[in-house]
Amino acid sequence: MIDDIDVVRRLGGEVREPSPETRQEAYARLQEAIVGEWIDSPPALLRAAEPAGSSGRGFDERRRSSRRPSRRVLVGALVVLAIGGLITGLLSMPGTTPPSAAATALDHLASEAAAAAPTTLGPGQYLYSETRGPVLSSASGGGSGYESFRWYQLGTVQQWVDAQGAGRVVITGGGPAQFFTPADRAAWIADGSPPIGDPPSMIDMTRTYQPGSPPPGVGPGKGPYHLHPYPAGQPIPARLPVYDVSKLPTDVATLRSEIAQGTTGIPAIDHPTGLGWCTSVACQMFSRTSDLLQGPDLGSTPALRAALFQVLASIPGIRLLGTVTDHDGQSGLGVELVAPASSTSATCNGTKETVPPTSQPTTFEIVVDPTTTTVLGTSNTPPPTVDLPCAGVVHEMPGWRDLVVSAVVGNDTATS
Amino acid sequence: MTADDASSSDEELVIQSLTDPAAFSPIFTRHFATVYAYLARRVGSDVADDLTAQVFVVAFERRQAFRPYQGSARPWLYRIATNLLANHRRAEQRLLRLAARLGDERTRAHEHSGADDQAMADLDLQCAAAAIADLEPSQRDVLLLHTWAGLGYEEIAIALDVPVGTVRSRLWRARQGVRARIAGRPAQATCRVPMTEEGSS
Repeated sequence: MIDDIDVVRRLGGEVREPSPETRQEAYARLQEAIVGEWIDSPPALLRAAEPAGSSGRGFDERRRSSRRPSRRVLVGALVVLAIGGLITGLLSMPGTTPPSAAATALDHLASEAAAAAPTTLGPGQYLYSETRGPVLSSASGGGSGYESFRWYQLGTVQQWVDAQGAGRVVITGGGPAQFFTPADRAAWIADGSPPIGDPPSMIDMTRTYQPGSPPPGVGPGKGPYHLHPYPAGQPIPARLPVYDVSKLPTDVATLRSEIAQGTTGIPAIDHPTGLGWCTSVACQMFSRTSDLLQGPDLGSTPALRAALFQVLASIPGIRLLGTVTDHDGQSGLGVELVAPASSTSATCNGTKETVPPTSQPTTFEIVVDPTTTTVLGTSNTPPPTVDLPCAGVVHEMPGWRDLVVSAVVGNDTATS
Repeated sequence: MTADDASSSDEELVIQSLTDPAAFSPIFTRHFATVYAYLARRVGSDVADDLTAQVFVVAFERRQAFRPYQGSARPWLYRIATNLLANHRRAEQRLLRLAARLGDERTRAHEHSGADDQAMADLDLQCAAAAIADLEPSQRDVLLLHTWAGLGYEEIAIALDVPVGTVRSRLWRARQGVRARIAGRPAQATCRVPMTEEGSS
């Protein structure tokens, strides 16, 4: 009796495995379709992905709003980013690895960014940004008989900057204050429990900057304190905390190298504080590149933004999350990097102490509006440890920052 | 938020991809190799390179019409593959004729070397190739989805969008054709492949 099924199976025989190139090409075509759908029709997708009650407005309505007309990313710097450092090894993608969905998506965003019109500021025009996120604050007695303490709370930062780097920052606190340690809370009580939480908040401040000169005065802090609410835990900045990216190269390889090595020449990017546990090159590249994309910045061009997206696309280990919603309920294209847990050192009362590794890997995330390529938000979870007097305590605060508004305005007064 | 969840079924991933397109990516990872192997057997590696990529792009673009089988996307992917194969009948015929011709040459070589058993086995393959080339496309699809893709009757029914009873009858007829071709050949003769080609490429 002939086993015809067996004969036909033998006829099929063995077939050669598809080559890596074949697989890579097929995967890239699928990713192109996936990202193409993203680019072509994000509104429906995003509406469907929005959690119930997250926002009173639909995606279309938000996009039509004049609150975010610019492709530029202009935000206040609230969360301070990584240390400078290490290098090499990870600067090139493995040749046989299919491009990840994330890389394909970011490459598309690079194309979109490259085709965007450049933002130029005329006389009397300002780049205005409004962001929300945790604001780290400190009150130092300074020998006046008061205790020092530190805390954070969610705040809104409005920032205007003109083409010369002059402008204004307005910080408005919101929500309850969170102390980092019981000692901070005790010091606050010892000082008479001054108002630092819900408005009127102690972190409320307005500061005006002239081009290239320190801000006038010490600030309008309430009470006998020297407040240092901006940026986190650092002395009051002498200039508006805006990244001058005008000297960054637009060649992707060169830019990637500078970002990886922390040699961009932008101190807040090359040597940030607060992310000491972000020790891998991939982790540092992701946080630095995300921060540069989010801004606020001066001197950016479509070519530079395109190159930054390409740098982000080249980071090994990135993953496409698809539709995600940031803390302000805005939905966009999410890309993440999971960084392994690592220990770090923190300066505690002038002494460097080793901070134990975080208990789990840290996830960095960037959320981009696929239509405008605007970075809507960045986050890292678990939150960053903070470089504070700690006495063995790991201080943490929420590690996210959301863009609410980015626009070119004709004056430096509030627009919203 | 993460799409690539190894514990999710194909069905869950496809549903998730309706609102989160990136969730579709693991479908490729899970099924690319097997779909490729099937297509390579039917139309050769060169055509399969492009056709397999098309299968997943089409699957993604038409995922609204996804029809799962026990949570798996496998029959659905083979359905798309089968539809795409319809445009490559000529390539398939060429491959089957080649298989029959090579089988003929192997048979002659084994006859010369005195390996009669091997020669008979090669002749079986040659005749099977000729028989498959002769089959109605609908019968051929059933037979090869069963033997080369390893699908069960219900999966084939989904893949071809026909009742299970139709699958059984088509498979029976296809097997009859193959058996007849193998059993009906004269001893140590060759199985001639059809000279005409169906379809167009």
